[in-house]
Amino acid sequence: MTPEKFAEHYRQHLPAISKFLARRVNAPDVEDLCSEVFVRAFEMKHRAPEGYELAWLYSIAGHLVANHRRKLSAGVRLFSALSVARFAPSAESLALADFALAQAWGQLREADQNLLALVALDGATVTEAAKVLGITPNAVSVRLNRARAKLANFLEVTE
Amino acid sequence: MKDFEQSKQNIDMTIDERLRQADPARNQVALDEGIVLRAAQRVSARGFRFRYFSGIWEPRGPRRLALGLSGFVAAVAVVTAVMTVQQEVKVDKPLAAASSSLAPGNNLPPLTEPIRYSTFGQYQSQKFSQWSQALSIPEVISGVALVSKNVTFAPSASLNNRAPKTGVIYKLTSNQTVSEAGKRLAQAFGVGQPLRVSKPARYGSITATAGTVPHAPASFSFGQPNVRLRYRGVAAIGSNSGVRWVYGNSRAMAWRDCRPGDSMKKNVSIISRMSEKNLRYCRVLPSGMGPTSAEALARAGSIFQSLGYRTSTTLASTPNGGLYLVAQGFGEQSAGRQTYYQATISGYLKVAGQVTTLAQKVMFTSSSQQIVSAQGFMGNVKTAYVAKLKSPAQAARQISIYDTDPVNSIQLFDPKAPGSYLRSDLSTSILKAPVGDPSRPTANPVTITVSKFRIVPGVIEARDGTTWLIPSYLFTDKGGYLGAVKALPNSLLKRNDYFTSGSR
Repeated sequence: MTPEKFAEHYRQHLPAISKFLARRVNAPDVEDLCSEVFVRAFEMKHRAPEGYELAWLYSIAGHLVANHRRKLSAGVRLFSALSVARFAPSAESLALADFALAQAWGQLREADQNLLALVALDGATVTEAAKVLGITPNAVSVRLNRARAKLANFLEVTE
Repeated sequence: MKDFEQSKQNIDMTIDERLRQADPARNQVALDEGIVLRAAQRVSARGFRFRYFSGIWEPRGPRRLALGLSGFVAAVAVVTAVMTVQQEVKVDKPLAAASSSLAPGNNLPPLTEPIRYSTFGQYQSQKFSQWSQALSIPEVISGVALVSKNVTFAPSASLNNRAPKTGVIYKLTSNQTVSEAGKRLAQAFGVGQPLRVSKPARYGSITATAGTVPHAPASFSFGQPNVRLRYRGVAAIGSNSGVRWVYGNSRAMAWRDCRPGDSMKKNVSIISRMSEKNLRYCRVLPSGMGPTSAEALARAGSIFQSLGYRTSTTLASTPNGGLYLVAQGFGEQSAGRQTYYQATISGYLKVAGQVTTLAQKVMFTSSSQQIVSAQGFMGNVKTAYVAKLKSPAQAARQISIYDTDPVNSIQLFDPKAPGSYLRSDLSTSILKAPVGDPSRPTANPVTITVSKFRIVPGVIEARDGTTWLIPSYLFTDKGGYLGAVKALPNSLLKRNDYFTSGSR
């Protein structure tokens, strides 16, 4: 696939990817990371699952965000490379719009944050979220319901 | 009452919908589409590729290697050419020339070339970004949660009456070099280490640093200290267009990791970092260890004065070019066992009789007499240009509630809530409107008639680091503040953020 054909096929996903990144990293880093997502996508284009290109791009972007955050905290958390990949939006990023929600969000497990953000904010379907997270759609449905219930519960306490 | 209504509305919403309403990327504009092609071409030109996740670099033969080398040579040639062109542009840039001797509106040259402004300071060097990130403490964001309202704005029939045709543009300028500013700052904050001055970076910006910062600064959590970092220093960046600076001292934060039994003690404040599980900090000093408001005002005032500013704590007695000092978020802000550490003294620059959002800030912790962080600018504003303005009626249609539209809106100084994201005098006509998302087409929006305006200076930063004060409309109706819009026409303002298509 030539760069031109790749761009023609993948540029439709640019708004979704840029928003995905804007939710998770500081604004000045969005462009660089977005560019890196498509660099890696082009390098691994033969691995793109047909029909699930966006989910695949989310997966690449998620890894990049996790690496980016590890780099930022490397001085403090020596073993950060061994920790669970964190790529959900931070509570701080939600706080400007909804303080109570931000507090409740901060209490969720990282895995729940990742899943809820993918579905509620990034607009991924259950199947797409399953592809991104590498679990079955059934598991996604179950975990999603639990995550929503937990967040609602935390919100009740906060408010 | 307002909080109660807000809370009720929030509970009624589904979780997903509420998350979408708080979406931090809601106003994110898409990046330039060319980024996808450029990324693919970058890989293609690289000439070889390596497999991720396998850890094996895999060159694809001499042909690709030759291609890669030629790509590298071409890239070096392009970068050299671009750097040469940038230098020339910087020297000839007409916006850099501003007269300081002209009175407002009196024989000022007209602004003919657009100001290329930027939200994210493209002139910043990597060194300054690193220091700035390490030394700055994010502010506590407080206030009621924002809720979007389903409203549109329309000008009243008389809004254009007595509208000015032109407005004065001011520019922040400095008569000292970055190196001189760095020395002055280091002296003001008592940083003893020698000053290091960088070579010119993007847009000719130079960075001066003194002190020590961690090599890889941690990501700070929302309004909470990171007790594990040790740093103290000052950093300044600038060119011929003014200097920005930042100071930080982690030892001023009287917090430590919590120990067993801390939660049982009544005089121990505990905060949990929301983004990091099982990480809690404790403060064991008794309350009242922070400076009083008067002490902090005096301390910050003397620092600003040593930087060359006249200061006052009353709006009326603040001279033009001086700083209006305000104590913000002062004292302890407790929520249960959580105690926020922040207390800030801000000095807002007064220009042409009006206070602007151009501010210097000095932050104390509530449990220490020391300054934990400070930031600001060095220089003063001069009249630079005169420019035609868009009509108030045209601008009124561009109001975005809560000043969130980055293209047309501009943040203005609110005397009752300085530095806040929320206006203290937000119009009752907005507050009473039904909840809705203005960024999505919705049915039956409430139309609010804009009946009054006044011109106030709004601050914008050009991509080369130049700071401008441009005329802006502050709109109100009978119920209060409606919004603020830049008064310069779009032909004189070009936004140069990373997501502005084709503008770099």
